[in-house]
Amino acid sequence: MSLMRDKALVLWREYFPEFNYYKPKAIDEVLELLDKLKNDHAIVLAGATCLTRNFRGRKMEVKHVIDLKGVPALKGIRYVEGVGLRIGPVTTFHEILKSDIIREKYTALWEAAKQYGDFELKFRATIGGNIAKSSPQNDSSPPLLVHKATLTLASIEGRREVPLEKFFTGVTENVLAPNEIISSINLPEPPENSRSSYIKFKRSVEDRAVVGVAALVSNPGYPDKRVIRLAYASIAKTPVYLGEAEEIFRKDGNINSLIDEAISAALKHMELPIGHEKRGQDLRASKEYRNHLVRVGTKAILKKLIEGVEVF
Amino acid sequence: MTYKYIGKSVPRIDKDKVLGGAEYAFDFEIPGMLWAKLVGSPYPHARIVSIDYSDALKVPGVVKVFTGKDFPFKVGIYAADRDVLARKKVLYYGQPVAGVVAESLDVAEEAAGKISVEYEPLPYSLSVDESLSPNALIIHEEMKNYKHAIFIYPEPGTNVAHHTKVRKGDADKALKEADVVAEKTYRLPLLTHYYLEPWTGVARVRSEGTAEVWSSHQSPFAVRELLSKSLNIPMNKLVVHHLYTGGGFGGKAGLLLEHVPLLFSMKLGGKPVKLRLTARENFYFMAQRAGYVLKMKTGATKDGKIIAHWGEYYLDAGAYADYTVNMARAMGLTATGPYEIPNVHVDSYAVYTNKVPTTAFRGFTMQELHFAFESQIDELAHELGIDPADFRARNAFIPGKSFTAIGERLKEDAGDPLTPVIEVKKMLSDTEAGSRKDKPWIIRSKGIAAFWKGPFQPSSAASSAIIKVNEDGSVDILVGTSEMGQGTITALTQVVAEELGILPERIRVSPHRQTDMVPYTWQTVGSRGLFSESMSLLMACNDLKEQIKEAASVAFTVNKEMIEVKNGKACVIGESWHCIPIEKLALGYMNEKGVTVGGPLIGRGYYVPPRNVLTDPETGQVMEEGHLAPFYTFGAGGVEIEINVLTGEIKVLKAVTVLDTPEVNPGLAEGQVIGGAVMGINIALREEIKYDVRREFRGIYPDGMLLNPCLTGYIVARAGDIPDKFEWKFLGVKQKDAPYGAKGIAELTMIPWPAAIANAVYNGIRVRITDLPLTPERVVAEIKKQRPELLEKAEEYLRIDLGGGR
Repeated sequence: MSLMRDKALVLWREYFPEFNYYKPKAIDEVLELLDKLKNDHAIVLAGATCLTRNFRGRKMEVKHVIDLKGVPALKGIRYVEGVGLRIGPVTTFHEILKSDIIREKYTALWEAAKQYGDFELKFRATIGGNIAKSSPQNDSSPPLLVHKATLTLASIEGRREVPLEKFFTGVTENVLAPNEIISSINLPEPPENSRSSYIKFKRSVEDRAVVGVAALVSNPGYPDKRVIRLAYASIAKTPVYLGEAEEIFRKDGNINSLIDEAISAALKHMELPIGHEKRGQDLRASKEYRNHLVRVGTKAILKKLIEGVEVF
Repeated sequence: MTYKYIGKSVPRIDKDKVLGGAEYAFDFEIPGMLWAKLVGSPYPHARIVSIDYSDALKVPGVVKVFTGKDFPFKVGIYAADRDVLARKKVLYYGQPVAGVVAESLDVAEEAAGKISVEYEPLPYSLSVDESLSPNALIIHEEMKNYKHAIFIYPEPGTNVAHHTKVRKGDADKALKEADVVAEKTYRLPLLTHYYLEPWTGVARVRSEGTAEVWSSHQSPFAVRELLSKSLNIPMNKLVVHHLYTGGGFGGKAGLLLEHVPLLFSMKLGGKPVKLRLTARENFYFMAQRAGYVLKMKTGATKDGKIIAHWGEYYLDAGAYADYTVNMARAMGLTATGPYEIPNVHVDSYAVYTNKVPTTAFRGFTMQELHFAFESQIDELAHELGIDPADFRARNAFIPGKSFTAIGERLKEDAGDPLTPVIEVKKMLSDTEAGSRKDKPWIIRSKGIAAFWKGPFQPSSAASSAIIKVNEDGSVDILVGTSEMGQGTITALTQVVAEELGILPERIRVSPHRQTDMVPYTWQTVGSRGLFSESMSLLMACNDLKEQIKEAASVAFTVNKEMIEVKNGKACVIGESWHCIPIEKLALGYMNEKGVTVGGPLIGRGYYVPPRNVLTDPETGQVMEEGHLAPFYTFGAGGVEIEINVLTGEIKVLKAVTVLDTPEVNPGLAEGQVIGGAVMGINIALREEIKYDVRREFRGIYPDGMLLNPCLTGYIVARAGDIPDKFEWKFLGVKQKDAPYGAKGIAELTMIPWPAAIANAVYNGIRVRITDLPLTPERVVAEIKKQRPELLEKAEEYLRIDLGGGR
């Protein structure tokens, strides 16, 4: 074999790299700063639960850190009847859990917040950070996808609205421009008579998803009025919204056959390994077991939303 | 006999830990101290061609960079096979190849990133099978030159670091005669201890030549001995300090990396040097638990007697088998669990692979052995149609009569191997396994496992103790054993309180140790701490009482034999009005004319296991009548579980532990019982170190890397994973030459769970799983393989009925 010259492996560090820290008080300040520093290893900080780890592991080069937590406009949950819900990106999972409106109308998101991380982490981790990190395992995306969420992205050049479905482009990759942040997460009013839910398969109570399944169901018994939406975490390089399901469930026919059809469609999205290429094999589960969980999870979540049977 | 303090839940004396006042090596600093940082190998096996650290030296604040060339020797405890820093070859991914010393940690970290190494990658082995294949590469080419303990038998020219043989009767013949034979191979992954405090060491050399070490370890005297031997430092010039230790679980037994900061310091004029690992580095630079491949054939007759056991036990020892060689020995010598089996043929091997080094782990192979062996027992019982508990009872050792696999006759008072199984069965629900009514895809079941264990130590493993009476009659205890969570120091105060009849609050044991200031104990391992130190202390108390009697006999002008010591006083027997408190004798007895007789009271005691003997290298049989260990604790564990057939998830509802021994402190015993069960159950269900086994090069990273060196990848039980219900019972069966009849319990509480859960799975769904951990994924895969109809039926329950055939 040939000779290889390698940088010696520094397995982990206690120290952060040195960086400049900014905590602006207004969105415009954030956007100006970010625009100025965008080509100089600037990073936006929300809950920092992931960043601190990346800093210690030197997984990214960083010179400037812009903390969003000082901007009141980026925080909080506002619901307007008939319009829907707006969630500020630096809203924590704990705040989501405390919201009655999310619990009642956007149950899948509430259930995802409940199962997110551990007790302490919920007070720090934010929904915007969770989306912006764009991990395929993130818990907030499947519920947001079945609720047809859109993101408002803001930069010094202006604002644009992107459906969440179009936001993710790969493992920890998305359409955010270097000078752009998520300024709002928007959920429309859910369809009439709808219910949503999120099932998370995990190896321990505080694990990331081995597979996550979110569903929204309205009027299941009436094919003409029926809405059934499905979305998944941790089955591909990005969170997956199963657009095919909308079509499939509009068909008349035995619901169990339609579910099988939807599962087949979901399985076509399966793409392993999830995560970085370097690791090659997936630590959480094999493809075979993930396929199994997609099948069982899809059936179970629809059983729950349609017949009210708690399977797990 | 009733006791005043023994058997009572005296509160812990090491409350510092929960109040933030405890000092750990992690926090320890000395003014002017330098910081070290190690860098690792990105290859699992490679020749080191050159190391370039010129850029690292240019970083301001860097003092020195060391490489393997600076330290041309090996270190170790049972088999000295470890390099200080890799020399010539790296043997595993992450192995330290260089160390930077700098004025601060951030400088050391920065400079570490500037070292580059030229490697010639070599083929490598990531499994026992590969290491033992006929054309296997040899990982330790110089094995024949390694020093090892007298009971370790390496096989140079192969990858076998140690081989234990046990031969009793004729197992081949008996297996042919058996009515039923269970034949299975069990596989267990490498594990990490995940103690909370990553390893840390600080070292310096004083100007008069004394080397001092502060580190996070279990056994200060073992650290001193091994440093002394490895580095040729006389013991009077070497002081090892033990501070509070944030857990060990076997992972901090023996010598860890103390030699690294000490050698750095020695080369830097004695300046203090600190090496503190991060939790992630701890996965690579510390040793972990071995992996296992256990091949077994066990035979029984129709009437329920086990007549033969054949086994090949392989420990995947990783790149350094220093401590694991003795584990292979322990596993071989206790090959058959707590059962008398007339015909035994076992070979137990420690095998080198290109993985992280391995070492002791709570239970010292007994959890692993019993997982396999108790699965075998369960198989045989089901095959024969005998209740698994009854089957165990029929074959259990009978103390005073039975001979173990190595020909050791169990003492009359060795304990009770039989009752724990029966008790556990009673404490579990008597309902048979079956589906839950509300959720038929969930199956309820129960399972049990029996076990035994003693401390596997050198036959001479000693301990000693000193008791000092202070001027005011309060007492300081000096012992060498360590407190790392077990509660030993609290229990030791109970022993002295009981013997002298004084309040536990009047007795102090420091949580800290300093090898030149406390008496010797071999190690704090093997559930031997409280047992061995108490034995020493009982002797020390007697010694002290003799001195008190001597002084009191002068005070009362009677014979020494007329004096008794109780309730903190020395009294003339039968004359309660003739008493003198111990404090009046603390510095000797002074009469009314000022004449002092005697002097300060200091009691001394020691303990060496009586008649512990070695075993024959060819047969594993005891060399003469005697014992392998000073005690064996017997017990059993049982679980009630739910198996979700749809997901493969196993939920433990209730865990039951029964041990034969009495308790010294029920509150501390409760902590051990629950802690051991939580750890053991989590190992059964979740824990595993994973390796990239793809065998292909990918950029600069080849495979062979450890994939999950952190808590998101390596699943340690979280609060929500802990079962709701724990029940336990101590049977109070006393051993005569044990302190208050009590034996060790610390590791025992962790042993039965993987076997009990695997047996419960079999009992519930007739699926036998032989590999750990019992992850949902593995359970589903095995259901699909062994009973696919179960899963199909469970999925049927998920069908939706919208009415009208839709």
